[in-house]
Amino acid sequence: MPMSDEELVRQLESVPLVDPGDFRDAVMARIGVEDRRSRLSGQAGLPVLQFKPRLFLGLAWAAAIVLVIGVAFFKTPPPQNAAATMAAPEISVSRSGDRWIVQPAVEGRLEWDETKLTKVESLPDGSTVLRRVEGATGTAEIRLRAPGREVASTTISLE
Amino acid sequence: MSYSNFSSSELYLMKEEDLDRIAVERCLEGDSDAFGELITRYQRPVFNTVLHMVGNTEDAREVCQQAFMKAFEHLDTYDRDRKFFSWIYRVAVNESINWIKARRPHEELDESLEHPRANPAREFEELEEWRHLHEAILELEPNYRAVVILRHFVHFSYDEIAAILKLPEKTVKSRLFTARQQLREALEAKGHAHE
Repeated sequence: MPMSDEELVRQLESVPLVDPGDFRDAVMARIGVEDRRSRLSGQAGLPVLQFKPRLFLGLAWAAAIVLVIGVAFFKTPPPQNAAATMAAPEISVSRSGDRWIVQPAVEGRLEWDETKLTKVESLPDGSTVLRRVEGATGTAEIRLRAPGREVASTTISLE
Repeated sequence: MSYSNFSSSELYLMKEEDLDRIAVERCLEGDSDAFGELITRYQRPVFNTVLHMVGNTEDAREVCQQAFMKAFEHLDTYDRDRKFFSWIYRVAVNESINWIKARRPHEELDESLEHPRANPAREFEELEEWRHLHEAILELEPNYRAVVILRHFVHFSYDEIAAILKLPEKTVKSRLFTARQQLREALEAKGHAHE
């Protein structure tokens, strides 16, 4: 049987976005190195891209690993019932026990780790109430997405 | 329970375009860190665009980083009267097309495109569906592939796609029509048409 256009669109739009991990540090490391090179050679303006990608990628990975270990070592657990906090300019998260009230400040769609958080209700002011899934521990990510871009994301502690 | 500790007055509204513009200006004034904010905002959807263009995670990560580097390098040529996201997507799509032209054919399904779901039967069905869809997308000519990805994976409107690809809107629609037709034919040939 021929496939309908609607069926094709349904299939296309059911494909989930893949999480690439954070490569900001890798790119910023390259940029930083190029910035310093430019200054040393007396060039003005933005840096010119002439580098060995694998070498700098390796350096960036090393920097990222050191950062992750450092954060894991020195991190202290957050309070159980935090007051309203500004997780990012575009998203506000407030905690009450095992529930979180998430309020986007810009238009977009909220996404969260469904293995750790479940939606309780939507409030009239546009915020969403999420509850910790029983037995879930560690952290969970909440993202605000708009077509074509990641507006904001924040990680909450479930402890 | 009480929601009294939440105050909407603590929020402030700022358009994403304004955030982008401020970051670009800071960057052009020499604050390289401002570019990091732009990377954070766009890395996930731009990565997914590149991933479906090039077909595997490792290459997508490299192409994506190259695209951001190129954007940083040429930031002074970016027309600030236009939206930043149109420009960064154009850089990423062009970088992907250049990479496709330069490489040998590679059409393996990347494991990262698999997405576990709670229901095992449904999960399997979706994985099969996505696998064949992914293979069919990789068979499209890159200019057609880009239109499908921008429209259906990152949900841009026709005029936004036209701005990104610097094409007339009618050309975008025409390419999308042709691309969908080719996808349908490819999926039917694989026996994955659904009732």
